[in-house]
Amino acid sequence: MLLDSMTIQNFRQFYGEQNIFFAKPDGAKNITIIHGENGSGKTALLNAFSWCFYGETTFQNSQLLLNEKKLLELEVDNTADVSVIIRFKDRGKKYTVTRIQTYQKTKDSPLIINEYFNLEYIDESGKSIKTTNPQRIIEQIMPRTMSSYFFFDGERIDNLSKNERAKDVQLAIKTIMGLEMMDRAKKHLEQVQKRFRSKLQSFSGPETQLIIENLNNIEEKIKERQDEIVQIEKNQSSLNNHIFQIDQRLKQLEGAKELQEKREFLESSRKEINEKIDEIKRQLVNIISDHGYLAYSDAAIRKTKEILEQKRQKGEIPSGIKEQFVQDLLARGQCICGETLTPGSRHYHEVEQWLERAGSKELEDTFINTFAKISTLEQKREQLFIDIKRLVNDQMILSQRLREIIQQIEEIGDEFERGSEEIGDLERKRKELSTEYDTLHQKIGSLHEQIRQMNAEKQQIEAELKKAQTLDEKARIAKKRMDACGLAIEVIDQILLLQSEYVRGRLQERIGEVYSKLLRKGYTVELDESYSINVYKPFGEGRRAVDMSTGERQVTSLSFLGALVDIAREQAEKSKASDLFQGGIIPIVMDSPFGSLDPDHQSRIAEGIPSLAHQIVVMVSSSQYAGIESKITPFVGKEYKLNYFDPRLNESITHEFTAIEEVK
Amino acid sequence: MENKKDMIKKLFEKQPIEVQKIVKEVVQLENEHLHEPRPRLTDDIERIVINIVKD
Repeated sequence: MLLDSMTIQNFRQFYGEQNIFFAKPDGAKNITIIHGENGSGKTALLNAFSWCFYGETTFQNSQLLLNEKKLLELEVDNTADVSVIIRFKDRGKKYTVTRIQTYQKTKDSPLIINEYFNLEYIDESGKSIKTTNPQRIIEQIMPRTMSSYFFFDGERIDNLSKNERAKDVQLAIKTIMGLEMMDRAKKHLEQVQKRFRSKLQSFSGPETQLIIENLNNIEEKIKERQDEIVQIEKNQSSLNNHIFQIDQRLKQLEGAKELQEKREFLESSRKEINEKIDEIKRQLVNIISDHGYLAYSDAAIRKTKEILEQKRQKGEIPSGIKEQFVQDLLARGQCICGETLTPGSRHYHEVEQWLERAGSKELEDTFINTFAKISTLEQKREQLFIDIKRLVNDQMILSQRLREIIQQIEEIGDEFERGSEEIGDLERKRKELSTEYDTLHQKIGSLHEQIRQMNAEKQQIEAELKKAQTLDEKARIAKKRMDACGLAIEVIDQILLLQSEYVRGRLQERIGEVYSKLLRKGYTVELDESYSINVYKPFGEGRRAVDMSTGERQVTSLSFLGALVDIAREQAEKSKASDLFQGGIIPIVMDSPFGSLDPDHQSRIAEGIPSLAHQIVVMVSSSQYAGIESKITPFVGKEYKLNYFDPRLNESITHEFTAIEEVK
Repeated sequence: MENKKDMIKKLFEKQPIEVQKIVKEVVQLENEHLHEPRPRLTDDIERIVINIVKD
């Protein structure tokens, strides 16, 4: 998505029609800067994006969108439009999104008498298309959950670095990197595969029909459980939000603030230890699956060694006399004692008998190899026990630490319950919600296990179906097509997995690079397997998770967004039309990104912003702009000023309003 | 990281030609018809498979 322009009309502070043409990402001047005094309409502009795309705003007080000056000018029963039109390009298409609300003035509050939402686009061939479902198309280009990260209030962006946002982050990655397209291709192929399976069923004998029926049943059961998980996760997320709000409230209350902060620190340590324990468990599983057999190989190793030792002691292996040596004597016709060896003679016969007792080269080599392998196995077996002991020991230490932390967390909870009435009530509610959350968590675990078992069963049935003989010609071709769909789905699955790993790896690299430019402290940032963003600081010889300030979280989130947008751009620039992944261009629109930052970080962010994305729109207060102007000016392609007209300063102005002025 | 890209390429190339064609054409169709209603797309994909996988 590359923003072209925005036209707003009578939207909140903005009177009449106003236009903004965004800086194109040509050369270095990729920033559109919009500055104005506090209250002049910067946040309203940000809301204009979310209103136009999703019909949503985040205004705290009045929900009325119609400009007040316009409303005052209207006669009763007359109407006026509020509109926002955004024009942008995406993957070769030019889009125009229009949202209009028509207000009618009444003697009381104005009424919304009409609403209009439209999306038109011009495709690659120049054909203009009007869509019937504009919201779905907007969601495909920029999902609502993701939009708040690319059109954001700088002072509230910090939540991206919180773990509960990991799902949104995953979705952002999928959409931006074009993985969503592969996902959809896979889903459609699954539907088509089912169609061929249904054809196969109708042309097959009773045996194959039964297999397909079983397959359909198991798929239905799996889907039921998956749907249940989605529902439970929604409930969990709502519980989590509720707990988060209680925590925030506790932090505001005198007598609870410090303890709550301590609890948050302990919770973060608990999470970290749990992750370490999980990692140890993973390592144990890997070691045991790779080398576990050695634990039971002691008797076999001992017995083999005994047999070899006996043979060696008896002189059977390795033999003192080599087979080749005896053959050489017989060929030469003379023994080492000087006796002539004539075929058929007694001496010849005696020497010849040594051939049976002499060791062959192959046998000797095998003996030496077996002995070496047995020794390696013994060493590996010894190492296996050392590794297991070490890991189990580490796990015990961590589990002990975990128990201590849990106990401290519980003690804090008990102390809260004994606190003032409000604190006690909040804590009891929190405990109730946490218990409910844990119950749901267990339920999800149980459903996942059921799905895992059912998937194993499904695989067996699919294997049966693959082997099923088809006599009918129509059944045979349906089966061939069904199998081809199955293989294509498997390929897409594997490609998706590899591409996700690639993107995660690249993100990790880029976040680190961007982060080090933006943050002054020597922190390191990591993206874990679930795409949670974790920040660490050096601690002794190791490291420790950082309890970040709002400003630090803001920088972390910006680094992530910058890295994500950059990788998508890299992909878009490199990819050919035939590539499976196209990448894309994403703008970043931010309101007050400098608010929570100290001057040093403000300056770092100002320097780092131009490289965050292909196209950037920054809205800042006049005072903030004065502080960063010299840093940011070289990258500014378009500059706008929000002129606030104040009736207190000019009597000819009947009511306050804002007009947008381009600064040339 | 480039290694993963190579792995994707190799994985794709070792598939039977008809499977490669199905994956490419289906993903291309999804790209082209980003905004089309879904049921029609399923019909199109069925036709792609029928055209590629013959007797």
